[in-house]
Amino acid sequence: MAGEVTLTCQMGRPRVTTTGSPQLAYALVEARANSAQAAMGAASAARMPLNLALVLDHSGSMRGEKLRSVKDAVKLVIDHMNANDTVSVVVFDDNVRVVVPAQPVRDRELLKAAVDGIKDGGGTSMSLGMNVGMTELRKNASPHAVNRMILLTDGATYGDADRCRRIADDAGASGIGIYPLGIGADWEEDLLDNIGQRSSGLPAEFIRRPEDALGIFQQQLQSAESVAVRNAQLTVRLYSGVTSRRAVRVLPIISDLGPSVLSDTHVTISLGDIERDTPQAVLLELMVENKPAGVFRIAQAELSYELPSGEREVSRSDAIVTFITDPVPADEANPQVMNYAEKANAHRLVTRVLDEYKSSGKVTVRLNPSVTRVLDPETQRLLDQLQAGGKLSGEDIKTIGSKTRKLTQQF
Amino acid sequence: MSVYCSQGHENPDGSMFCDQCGEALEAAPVAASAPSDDYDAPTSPASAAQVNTPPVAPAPVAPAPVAPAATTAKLVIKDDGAEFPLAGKSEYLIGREDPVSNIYPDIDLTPHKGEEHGVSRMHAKIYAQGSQYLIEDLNSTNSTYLNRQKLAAKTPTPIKDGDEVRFGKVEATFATA
Repeated sequence: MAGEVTLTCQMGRPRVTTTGSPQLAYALVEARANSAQAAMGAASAARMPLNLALVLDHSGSMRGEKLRSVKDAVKLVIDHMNANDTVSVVVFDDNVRVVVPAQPVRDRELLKAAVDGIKDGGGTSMSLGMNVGMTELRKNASPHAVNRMILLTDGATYGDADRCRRIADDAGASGIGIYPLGIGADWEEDLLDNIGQRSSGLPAEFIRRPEDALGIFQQQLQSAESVAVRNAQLTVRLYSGVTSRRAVRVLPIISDLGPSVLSDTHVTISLGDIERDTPQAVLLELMVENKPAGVFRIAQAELSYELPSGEREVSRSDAIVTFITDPVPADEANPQVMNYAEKANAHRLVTRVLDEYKSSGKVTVRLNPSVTRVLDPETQRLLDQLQAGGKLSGEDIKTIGSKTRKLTQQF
Repeated sequence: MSVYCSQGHENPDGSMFCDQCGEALEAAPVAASAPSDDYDAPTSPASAAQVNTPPVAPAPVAPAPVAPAATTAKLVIKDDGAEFPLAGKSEYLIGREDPVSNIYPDIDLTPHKGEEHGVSRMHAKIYAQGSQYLIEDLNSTNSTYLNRQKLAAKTPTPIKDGDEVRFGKVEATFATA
């Protein structure tokens, strides 16, 4: 049965003027799980079974409030799972230990007692934890389940960042998404974001205060429970005279996909799981050679995904532009696409400011007021502080990063 | 062909925002001053800046407005004629002041029967994109209406001079004159 996911392409400007030279065209490709379809499925859209590995940093710096909150959050996750789900809990410092080996969630009290026994101590070698987490996940990994690792850390890992990235690549290739959570101010956002993206999970989520851990773990659980289809692969084929310039994920959060997804003839992006009620969207910047007046298909988007039954389905949508010889009124631009383009651009420029600050301690990039106006007041204030030559804490930087990538979720 | 922002940064033709500083591009006023008056001028090959050197000074064409400075928009409350000018800020939050949850909208409708007429604390916002004003409902309880059409939440919709807006039951007119 097709149609579980609706794929649409919208152009920033549905009509453009033939100028005689190449033009940039914005295309918004959106994939939305069809809720009607989900409701038609088994009684009240039964969720897919979960196969979760919770991989937790319990190094010395987690001592006290942080570790306590995380343990509470993990127990809450266990409380919400059932015997169709499997869970494992792995802790790492510079060693690794399996606290709960992969098993169905039957005796919750027993599992929670094991979690309670976690103590702090030691350094941080994240790849050890990730490796063992993968082993636990593989025991029950199934195309009929949502296979995810929730990876929590509060600090920098020592000397094994590349190993972490390789494990993330492996996870992606095995249909296992990694969802990194950074707690406190000292974790490395570049590495955690990278791990999330390479595995087709999401970039890191920021747990700003220990008491926020409960809510964030709850969101992680809800997100896993609402998976409608898995392993979604988006391929956008470019027709002749069209090249790709940039691809940015704009929903559920903003993340620049970098040059590796772009090629001369197509753009390929792993979207991972698609959840009910949470559309995924990618904004493409395409360069289109001049065309005579007429209607042109400039690209075709194709989304291939796995149903809970394990079958693969495909949805398609065309990106169409009409070239005309007359000027096009400015108000024809699609406000939704413009809005995403503006926020994606703001995210990119703010990221550039932060990167510059992190590497050199100062900021030379000047942002136009139209960038700052889409930001929230706290971020605006912190950026003003930076532009005036002030300093930011690690927490400030992570707050800006986290809020800026969620620009498309809120006003 | 390229378009330049007011700082002289070069961007490919068709860009909506400057890659270097984020300024809104191709925002040549359409409705504001000269309606259909050769909107294409900034990018048309006829313009003198054909030489491939980026201009040192801001491009001589359409001084791309940061905010639509020339036109002063305002919101007029129908019931009591109160006017809220939309000038000086890039974005206007419309709602009801609530010190408890620290919400101070730019346009507080409390004195204009906001509460009994179902205005949410964060009801809607109006902002400019280039020369175009947009209105967006912020998931308000009693919705925002533009010319009697209910707006979908969180969907920016163009708004122009003379449009009738309703926040819950509070009616207002948007004017750019």
